[in-house]
Amino acid sequence: MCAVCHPGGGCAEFDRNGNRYDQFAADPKNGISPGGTNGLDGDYFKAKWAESGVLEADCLICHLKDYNNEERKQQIKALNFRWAATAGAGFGKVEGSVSKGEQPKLTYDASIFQEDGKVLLPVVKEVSNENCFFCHRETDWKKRGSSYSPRTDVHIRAGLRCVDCHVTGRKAGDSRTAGREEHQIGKGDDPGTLVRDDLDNTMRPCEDCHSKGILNAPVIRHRGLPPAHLEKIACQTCHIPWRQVKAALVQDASVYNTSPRIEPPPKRIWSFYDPEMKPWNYYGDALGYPEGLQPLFQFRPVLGWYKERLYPLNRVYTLWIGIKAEGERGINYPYMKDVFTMWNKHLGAPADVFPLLKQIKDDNLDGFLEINRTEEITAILASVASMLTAKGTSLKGKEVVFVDGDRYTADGANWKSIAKKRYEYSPYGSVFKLSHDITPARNALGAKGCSDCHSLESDFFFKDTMVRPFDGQGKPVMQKSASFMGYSPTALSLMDFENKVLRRSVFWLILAVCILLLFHYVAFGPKRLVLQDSMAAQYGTGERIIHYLSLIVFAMLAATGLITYSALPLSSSTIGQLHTIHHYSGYLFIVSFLLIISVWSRDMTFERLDWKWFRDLGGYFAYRDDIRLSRFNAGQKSLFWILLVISIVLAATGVILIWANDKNLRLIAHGTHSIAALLAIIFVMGHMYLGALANPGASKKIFEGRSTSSREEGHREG
Amino acid sequence: MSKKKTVGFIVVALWGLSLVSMTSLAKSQLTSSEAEDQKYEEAKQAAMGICPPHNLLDEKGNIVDPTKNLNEEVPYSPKMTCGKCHDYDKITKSYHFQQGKGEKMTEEFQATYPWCTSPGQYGGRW
Repeated sequence: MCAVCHPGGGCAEFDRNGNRYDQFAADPKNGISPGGTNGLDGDYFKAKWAESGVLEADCLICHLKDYNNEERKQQIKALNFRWAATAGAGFGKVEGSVSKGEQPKLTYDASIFQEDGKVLLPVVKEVSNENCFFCHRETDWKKRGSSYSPRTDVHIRAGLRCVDCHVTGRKAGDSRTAGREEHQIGKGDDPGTLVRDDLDNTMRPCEDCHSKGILNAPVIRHRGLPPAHLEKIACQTCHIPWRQVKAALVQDASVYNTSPRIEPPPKRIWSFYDPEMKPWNYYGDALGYPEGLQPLFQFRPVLGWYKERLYPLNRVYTLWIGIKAEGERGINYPYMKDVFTMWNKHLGAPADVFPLLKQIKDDNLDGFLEINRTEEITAILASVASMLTAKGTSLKGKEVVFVDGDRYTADGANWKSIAKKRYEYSPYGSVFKLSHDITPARNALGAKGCSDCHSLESDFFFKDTMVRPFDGQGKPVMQKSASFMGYSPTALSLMDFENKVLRRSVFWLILAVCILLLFHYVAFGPKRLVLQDSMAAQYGTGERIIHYLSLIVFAMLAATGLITYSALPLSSSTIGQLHTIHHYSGYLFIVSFLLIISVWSRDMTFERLDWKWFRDLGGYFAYRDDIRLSRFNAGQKSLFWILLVISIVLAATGVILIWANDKNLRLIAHGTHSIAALLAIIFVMGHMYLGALANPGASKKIFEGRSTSSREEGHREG
Repeated sequence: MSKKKTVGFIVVALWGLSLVSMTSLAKSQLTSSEAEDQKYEEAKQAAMGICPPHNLLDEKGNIVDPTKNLNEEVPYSPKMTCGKCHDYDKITKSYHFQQGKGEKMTEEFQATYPWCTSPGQYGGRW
């Protein structure tokens, strides 16, 4: 069956020792018996290589347009390996079957031959999609939910070919897959597939076309998207917001599937569940629907971290019967056909053959049996042990176990865990990183704004994700996707507040403060101070420079922060540049504020006089100006200490945002930073208003170093 | 050693050296010529873009030509037919053909799947 997809060559041509199967089997000195067990050698067990021939690499499977792969499959099923390439290419008709002990008879189609006996084939250098789909369409449907059809994939709809991205040979840009006649096809990096991992990520990356416009690809702008998203989140995560066809979420290999159209029968030992944990007769669907027209089934893919980036994944949960040998790390399993046969026999005579299996019920009444209760587990384990013993399989030093995801039990009560990677259900279940069936940009996550993801209602963080398929009642155990991604409820609540409340109201709040200050100016100010010649130095040059520096840096921080916080349609790279300015300004602000502390902190101690300032509200709600204070008034002192606290918060959270990687810490830091920044902006606005408008003379002293002589002992701007 | 003998020795040595040098140079010229031929052959193939008319060959390398009743009942061999111009061995070393055969497993993989002999998907993950 493997050869139905396998293009030939390699292990379809040569045994483990490098011998060509048919030649080795035909050599009498090797003692290979056609169809015999041949010493249980997996390469020759029950094979008829001398008669069937081998499957040489069939170049035309890929390179001949209109290759008839169905015909090839039929020849392979008939064990007519030697004839499969001829039939698949349409060179002739093959009758007879090696599997039936017949000698296949080939009749060439003479019309394909020229007069000189040669053929001129419509071969193509670059393979067409349909040829790739011979093998990849069905196999990539079952556990990946890939469809590769114009109705589900924007790239297929745009006319792209698989090889446009999966480049190899002379067009490949990666030295690992480049070269004349090189056939290492550029590949991605699937967590669950481990063949040639050294060639991972040799395919053309998304950015290649979407930053340069190759193949008329739209050049990405990602307006409004902070660049950290592009570092941490894979393109597919947002651009595959939905899957369009089913993918198996659970493969249960412990019970018998009675659904129709499952061929060959041993496949009945597999029961699949769809992403909503409903039973799925995959094989029935695969037989029933023409290729590329799978039934639509929309579901959100699970998002998980892989190599420090967030990807849409399909993780396959597995339930199976294992054999655990004492002292060995891995868990082996009995032949699936033996477990199938056990069930098959039991269903023929439930009361007499493996009667314990009768205890296994469909607790959740979904149409499929499931093993979830202790008595069900003990029943299957005892039955399998009995079946193996009857077969003569020694269980000495071994125990039959029930494997449920990342744990196993030998008695249904005591579970042992199996080490796994964080993106897996267990090391025995595949994990597929989804990359195909890309949605257009206008449908991607984030197209409607940040709250596509950053809200307590978003599927991004709060989709129900299956933890275990069956509890005691046969119901799935679920958790929110945020838990799987490793986010804490506190961090998410703060994120939700920030995006729903703060982000939407920040500019209104600042506007409201402006209006209030304007109202104050109209109602009470400005104070009518008369600048006299006898102005005296109030601030030294150093103090004024420090103040200027703080003002400039704060203005930079506020401007860059507010612009990036806004919904302005800036490109991601522009936002990145603004963030860089913001980061460096932040460091400068820390320095400038430390300088302010060093020069003014001693003058900021509250004194008895300050209470009067507070009692009279600094005189800002009156027309009098007769409050006499020390060098700084109570308002300035309060502002200093408030801004000190806010600045410490801003500096700490800012440094976390620049340097830390912990996602929860970053979310909390981001929310806190935003709140603190808003407070700082409001306080500084008030400070500037009082200095520049409410007390016009006060601003002069900070810019020129002088104050009015009438107030040199006391009252300053607030 | 007399002067005459010394001159004779030098002449013989120079003659021997010339012989070795010329042989070596001629050989390198021959290799270069082969490389040139190979390069030209590749250039011709690239210029063609697609395969030119060619014979189908069976597993023994015999021409299959039903129009002349030559091996008309024998299936063609992709290996012999395509391999005549293309590097079959190089091509079939790629992972689509090998499917993990001969690849070393990681220690972790080997411990998890003690029955597997390669990271290929033969009885590996569900």
